[in-house]
Amino acid sequence: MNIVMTTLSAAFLCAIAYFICFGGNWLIGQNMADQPIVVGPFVGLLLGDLQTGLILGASLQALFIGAINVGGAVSLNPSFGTTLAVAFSILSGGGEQFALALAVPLGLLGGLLEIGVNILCAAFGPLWDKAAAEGNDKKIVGLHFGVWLLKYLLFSAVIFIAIFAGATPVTNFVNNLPDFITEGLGVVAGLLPAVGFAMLLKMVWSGKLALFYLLGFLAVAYLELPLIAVATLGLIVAFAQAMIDKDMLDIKNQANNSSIGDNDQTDEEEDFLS
Amino acid sequence: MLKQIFFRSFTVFAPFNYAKQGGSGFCYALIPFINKFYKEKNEKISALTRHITWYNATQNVGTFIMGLAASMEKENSEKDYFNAESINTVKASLMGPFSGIGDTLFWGVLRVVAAGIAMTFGEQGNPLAPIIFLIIYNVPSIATRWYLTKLGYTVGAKYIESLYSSGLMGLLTKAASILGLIMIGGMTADSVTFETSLEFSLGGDQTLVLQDILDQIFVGIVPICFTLFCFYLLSKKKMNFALLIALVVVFGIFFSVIGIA
Repeated sequence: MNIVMTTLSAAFLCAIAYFICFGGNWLIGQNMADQPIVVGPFVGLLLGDLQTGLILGASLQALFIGAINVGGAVSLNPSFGTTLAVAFSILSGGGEQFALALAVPLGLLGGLLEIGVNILCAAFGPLWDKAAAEGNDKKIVGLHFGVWLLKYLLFSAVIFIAIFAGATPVTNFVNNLPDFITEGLGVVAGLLPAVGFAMLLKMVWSGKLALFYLLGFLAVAYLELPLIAVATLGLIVAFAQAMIDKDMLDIKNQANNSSIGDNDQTDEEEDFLS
Repeated sequence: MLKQIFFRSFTVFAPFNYAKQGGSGFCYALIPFINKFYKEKNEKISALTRHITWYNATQNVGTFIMGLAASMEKENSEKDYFNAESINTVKASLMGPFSGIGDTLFWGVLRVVAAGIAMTFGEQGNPLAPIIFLIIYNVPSIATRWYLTKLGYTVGAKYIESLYSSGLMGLLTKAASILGLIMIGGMTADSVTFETSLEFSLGGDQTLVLQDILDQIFVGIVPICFTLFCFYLLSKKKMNFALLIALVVVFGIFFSVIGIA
């Protein structure tokens, strides 16, 4: 009975955490409250283990950093994976590696769920069109927030059920996991963030700037700088480069504005800039 | 009035769905303007219908489009010759470019920098981590949101064109990419780990520890090569993100079992 009560309240608390972080993120300007670094500690705090939440949140942040839903194309749901992985880890006593390995398949499931809910909520589309055709702006606003509430209550309900039903089987599963899997998961947890960073590189990579990636890597691998110093270093380098480029741009624009006879010079500078 | 757009814009994707995406949010943000400019029922209906259509742009830069649309609605209500259809044409033409830059700057760079700094605190179990993360991300993000709301309403689309043609936009994107790349490089070294436990006996007491040799060649050679290989698979081979993750899980366990790692 006691265990049931504990699981029940844990499931309830996690559903609330998920609603606040995930639903809140989308209600208030994608403020990133759904990122693992926020969700992890919050779930940890509610379940009475803030430290585990913080540490798992930081590791899961690296894991999910590439999970970006560009243009509404959902692939992973980081907050879904984080909430469940942190909760299961705390409830079952599984270690960090267990949580990291669990978070990815759960994040994928969450992504599928999100796609399903987005399709489901598309059914409200015609209602909005109808309200607009009637000139009923209050109904548009009502639907705007109503669908939000419905959508995130639905997500939270899934979290609640998953934790309530899953806590015991997951705990048994963890306790009976063969050693070679547990050790293997440690290796996996070390390698998986690479996929996330690869995803990010896809966004900002350019052949000409590739050396800056190496610079960042060296700063940590050899100079052992903390990431806050790397961020500052990056800011300085980016700013310096922007100032140089700005000067070049001014020269170029000046040349463009001056007499036509200066064409040769302009071409040269354009070659240099390109 | 502009403050209304700014505050309402936060909810733009609240009921996100595949029919409207941000359509209802865009309409919601413009409703105060629509109610003010169009007193006649039919005009109000056509304005609401215009803005309830499908909409999607990175939200903290999309306020420019909202501000611009509001200023065009104002024109439309005052001048008979104004072509109302041009409002949606302009909206549609701006979504793509704004999302392209917005996603890179805010998702690819600012979020990564904020996460990187916060992760340092999180790994040490410092409860400030989530707070630092939210502040670093949201202060510039909200400032941009407000600035672009004003800019969209006052200067119009021509300003953006000139920003592109003068090369300033390219400059900004390049600087942001540099910051992003340095940060991702640092985080690769920080978070991706792989240590081989392979040892070769050279006879007698001497053993050759492979990891030591790898470290002498280049610290973190395996993590950086592995990350770049994943990048190659995702971008050049167009491999599916989920499939790649599954492969990493399988190979990680496999390496562990056969004793390489």
